[in-house]
Amino acid sequence: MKALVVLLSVLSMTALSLENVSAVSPDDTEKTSLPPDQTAAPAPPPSQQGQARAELREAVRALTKQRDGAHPHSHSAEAYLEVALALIETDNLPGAIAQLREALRLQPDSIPARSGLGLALYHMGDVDSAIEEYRVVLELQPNLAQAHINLAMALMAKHDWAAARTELQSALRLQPDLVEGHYNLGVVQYTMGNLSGAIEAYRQALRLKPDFADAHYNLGLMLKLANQPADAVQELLAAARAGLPKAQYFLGAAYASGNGVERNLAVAITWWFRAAEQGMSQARESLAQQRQLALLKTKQSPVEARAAVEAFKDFRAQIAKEFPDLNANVAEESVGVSLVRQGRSQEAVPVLIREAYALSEPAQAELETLYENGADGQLKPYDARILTYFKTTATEGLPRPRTVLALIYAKGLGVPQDLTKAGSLLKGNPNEDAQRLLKEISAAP
Amino acid sequence: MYAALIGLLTTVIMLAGWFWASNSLTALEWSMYDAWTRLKRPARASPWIVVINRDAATDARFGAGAWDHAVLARFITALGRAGAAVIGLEFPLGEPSPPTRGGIASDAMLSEATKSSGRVVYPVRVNLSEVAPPQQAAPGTVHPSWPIVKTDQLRSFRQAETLTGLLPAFAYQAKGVGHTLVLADEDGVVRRAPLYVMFNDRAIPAFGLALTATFLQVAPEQVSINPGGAVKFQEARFPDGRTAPLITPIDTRGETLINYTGEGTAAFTSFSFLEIWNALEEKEMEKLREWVGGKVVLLLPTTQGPTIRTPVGRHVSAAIIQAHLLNTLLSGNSVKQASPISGVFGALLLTTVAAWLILSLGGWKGFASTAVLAASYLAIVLFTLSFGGWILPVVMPLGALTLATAGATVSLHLTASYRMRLMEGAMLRVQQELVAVREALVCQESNTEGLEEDLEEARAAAARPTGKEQELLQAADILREQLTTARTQETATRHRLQELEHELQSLRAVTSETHRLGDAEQERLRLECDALGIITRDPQVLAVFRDIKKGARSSLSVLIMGEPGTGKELFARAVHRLSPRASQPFIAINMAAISPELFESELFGHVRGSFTGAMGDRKGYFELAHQGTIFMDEIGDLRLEHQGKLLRVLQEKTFYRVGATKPTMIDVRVVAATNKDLQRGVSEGWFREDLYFRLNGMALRLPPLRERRQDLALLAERFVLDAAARIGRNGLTLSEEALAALQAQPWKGNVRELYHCLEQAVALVEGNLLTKHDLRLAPWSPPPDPNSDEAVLDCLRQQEFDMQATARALSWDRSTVTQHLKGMGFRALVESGGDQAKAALTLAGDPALVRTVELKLLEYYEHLVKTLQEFGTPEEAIAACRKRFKNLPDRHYRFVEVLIRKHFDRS
Repeated sequence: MKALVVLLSVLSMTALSLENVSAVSPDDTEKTSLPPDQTAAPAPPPSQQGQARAELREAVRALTKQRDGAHPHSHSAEAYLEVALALIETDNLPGAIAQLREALRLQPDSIPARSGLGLALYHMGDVDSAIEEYRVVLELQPNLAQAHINLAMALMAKHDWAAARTELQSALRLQPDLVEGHYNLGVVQYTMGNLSGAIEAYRQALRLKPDFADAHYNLGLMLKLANQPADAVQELLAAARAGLPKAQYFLGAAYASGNGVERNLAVAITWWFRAAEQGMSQARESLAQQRQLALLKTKQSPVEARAAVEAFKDFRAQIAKEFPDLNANVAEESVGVSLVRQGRSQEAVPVLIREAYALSEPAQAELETLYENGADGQLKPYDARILTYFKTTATEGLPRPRTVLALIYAKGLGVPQDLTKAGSLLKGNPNEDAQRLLKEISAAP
Repeated sequence: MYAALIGLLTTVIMLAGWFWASNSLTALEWSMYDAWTRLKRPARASPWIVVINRDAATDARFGAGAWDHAVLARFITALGRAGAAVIGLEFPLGEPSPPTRGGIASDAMLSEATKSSGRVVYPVRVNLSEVAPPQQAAPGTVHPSWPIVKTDQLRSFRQAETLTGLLPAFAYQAKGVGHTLVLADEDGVVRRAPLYVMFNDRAIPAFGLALTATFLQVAPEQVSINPGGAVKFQEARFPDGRTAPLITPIDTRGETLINYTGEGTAAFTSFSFLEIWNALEEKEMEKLREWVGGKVVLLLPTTQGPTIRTPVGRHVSAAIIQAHLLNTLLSGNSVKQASPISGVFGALLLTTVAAWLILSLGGWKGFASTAVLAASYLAIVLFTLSFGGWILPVVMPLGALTLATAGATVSLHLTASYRMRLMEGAMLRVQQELVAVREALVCQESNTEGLEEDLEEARAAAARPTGKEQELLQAADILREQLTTARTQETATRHRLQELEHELQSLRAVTSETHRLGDAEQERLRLECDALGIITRDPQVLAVFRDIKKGARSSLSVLIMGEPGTGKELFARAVHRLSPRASQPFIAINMAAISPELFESELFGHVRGSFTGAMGDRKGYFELAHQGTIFMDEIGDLRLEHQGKLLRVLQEKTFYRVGATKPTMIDVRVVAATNKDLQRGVSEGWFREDLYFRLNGMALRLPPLRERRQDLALLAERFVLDAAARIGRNGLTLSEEALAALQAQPWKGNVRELYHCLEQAVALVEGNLLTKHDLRLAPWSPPPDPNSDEAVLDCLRQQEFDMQATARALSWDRSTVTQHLKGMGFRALVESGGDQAKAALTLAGDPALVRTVELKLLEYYEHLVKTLQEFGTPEEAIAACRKRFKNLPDRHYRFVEVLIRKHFDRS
């Protein structure tokens, strides 16, 4: 019995951990612990499903370890349950569901089997059936807080927010220290338009688990929307430090606009770089915007352009601090270049790319050389990372990278030769090299 | 003045009608504006507006319902980078995102994008309240872009109670927030939008206005609102670089008319959301910049959901209406509605002018000029709408104009009819006075004549030596004085008679006044006359025919007056044929030809055994004419007792057949004709006044042939042709000489006489040419003996027994004429066996003159009797009278003798 309770507990924690996983996911689309909504949202990507299964398997392993010490109610039902767990191990959820149903046929009041069935159905996307199973569990044992939580999760998937809130509140009455209960109550309260209720729920979750990064992030956003920017920045900072890229993006945005914190574009850029490195597209967009502002020197905002240039310079200086062993003078020029000169080309490439993204011209020039020629013994020519950098920045409309990429296509360096593409990249480019190259391409037969 | 009165009256009626059927008339008023909006060529919308639609392809990609707010956030960021001046999102943003649509992260993303973009305008839904809460708006519930206003000044504006549809998290960060309230007119069509809705002490702008204010960089303190006047943006910075005020007219409720340009968003530069998104995904910033750079970008929802009726179409969402409002404001093509008071004034002016035109011009000219007036007003309405943006009222002024036209026309007819009645009354009075004066004149004439005779007798007596010369001379002097007085009185009476006759003539001239006929109308009428057998080119006759045409369709009784032979029956038949009764019987009766004893039986019929000889039931003329027309010719010859019976039938439309116990109902139209002056008959008492008015529904006077000489040739030609055709002789023509002879004839018997003359000539002629000789015209010469009784009587009759006039006509002195009449009178008295009435009728020959003659006879006879009183025996009297009546024609003395003897015999 004890082992099955552990199973339930572990399985439900799995749901919560999915939320955590999704929050740190590099994918920029929002993911929650909920199964895919049939109508509103597309099915989660395979990688996410695989991760969920892995978590489920972890829970099952924990169960099988502890099951030996338990006293089974019914030997036959126990056998089916055992097979079901084994099937879950092999990702065979339909098979597991069949075994769990068999176990329940032999022992209809088996709470572990029914809870397990509910969870399996929920993960299969059959939310209605899962809700039915959870309700039966709660009829059998109304004081089972975790069952209320599981039912609330399923109800949330059905967008039945009021019912979900009731279940969550019931669960928290039975077990006030359920962190996931408070967290999900925060989600439900917000969705129902109760911003203050949501903020309180997240604060409660954080009191129980102060290092709960997702709660910090969500609370930060709530406070931001509630027009409490200073408090929001504190929460976002906690979440950003824990490595949540969205939190890092929003924190960067707060620093960039001076909303709730003293305006500091350099800090903003730093946080955006961190978020962008985790694949946060909005952060990439923001950085691209700053680059354009600095390089395209739009007439409307020269002050903003200068600020952007300075911010990128500060960011480059911070990169130099990551390599205290390098000569300071050299570092002023480019840390990456210094590394290349020290023969640390492999190590230099990511640094050069970061510096180039931060508008370092020496780094950009070095990348051009490295891409075309490589580094003896350390780096082959036509490095894909460098090509991606050129493509990205060329798309942003930066003149130099466009010229370089045009040259790459014109010469077919690491890519199939494509003069048309090269020509289109050079069109309207004020760069002298670009104009010369365009003439050469035009003159070519 | 009268026209102004009609104008005022019709405007008041129209106003009352407007209050009574306000909805219908408002709908009618607006339907014209709607038609103009629909039919005008839709102008391109402002180039500064770009509309982005959520089309089917977009919904297929992003879902048909609400979207992940992160998508909108990215959209805003991209458009901001592409240089869009203002971004308006008509999107449901009132609910927090559920976790399945990105949850709070997406909301925060949109909030962040809204803030960093700094150019987003969101809509908010307002829920209206009936009363204005006077307190100040709670902090945090209002947007800084909403102008603070004095609530008491804008109390007439619509009041918002609560705001929904936009999360505060988005509202805080938005550059502007506007309401999307649109209210339909009473007919369910949305033509206007409230530019501002009050929310406590703030004025929430319409979404389109909020976009405009953001685009033109107008701060809330630069806005001034004047209810019933305009909303003014003090320093609007237009995209072309100029800074100028933007003025938009509003009514007292803060509403402005939307100048729709085409249906939906067809007139706008528009893209699908997917196009923009693809460009964004492909990072085609240049393309995006070209599309949206410096413009107001409006993202509209799908056109699903409730649709609103507008003048340009049915399927329009509130968002599209806001797009049209934005275009109206930005393009400065505001439409202004003239105040209702101007409509009333316009109506007053138009109605007065229309009434004046109808009253002064009358007829088709009046109608044509009012039509031109209406058309001119419509043209002005169209011009001001197309070029000035002013909507002038149409229904009220034109409705009132129509009413005024009808009113003035009716009034014109009523006045004319009333004037006619007054004239008739006046004529009757004059006639009556004339009769009285005539009678007085007759008495005075007789008195004068008597006095003259007495004076002569006295003089003769005085000349004889009887010893009483002195006394006789004195008596003669007295008689002379009396005679002078009598003559003076007679002269005065004659003078008065002349005056009255003149007056009567003038009245007749006024009542018989006819409108002149145009050439084209004459020709048309002539052809129509021809079709009915009326041959004429005479404008007078054609005017009569026109009146017949007008009156024929009604059931009015018709009285045709004219000399014998002028074609009264022909016109009576025309009345019948032109009336709706044309297919029913037409019964013509000559009233003079019906024996008085059989009058009732003939007219009303009889039942079997009702009198001796009534062998079976017989229908009378009235019954035969049931549902048709009865034509009663010579109605003036109807006896008084029969007039009463006829009147009852005409009044009650029922009668009893002779011997019947049940009444018979009839429906007949009466056309009566006479050659007598019935008005005079009424005055003289031989025609009933009530019957006269009953018959005189429409009076027509047919001119005698001598007054329509131009018709003579036409008639002669036609009669010759007809007569020749009847006897099978074609090619017979009338010589010029014969025609001239015809023209010279007086034609007392009018057309009938002419017809018979020509018929006879055609029958007797031998060649193919009718000559003067063939016409066998009786030479027109006076009677051979002017002294003969016939000649004198004829002249007397012609002069209506006016002694003086007759004496003048015969070139005699008056006493000679008097003596002749006296002699003829004595003869008639003798021949009638003393029956004065019969004697008078014999002499008068015309009932109209009987009374005058009777009076004269009475005077003559009384004078004779008075003379006889002095004598004891008939012989003495005869001897004395021979002297006294020595001027009497000899042939009449024997009648005097007879009368004297009869007198003595009786006494």
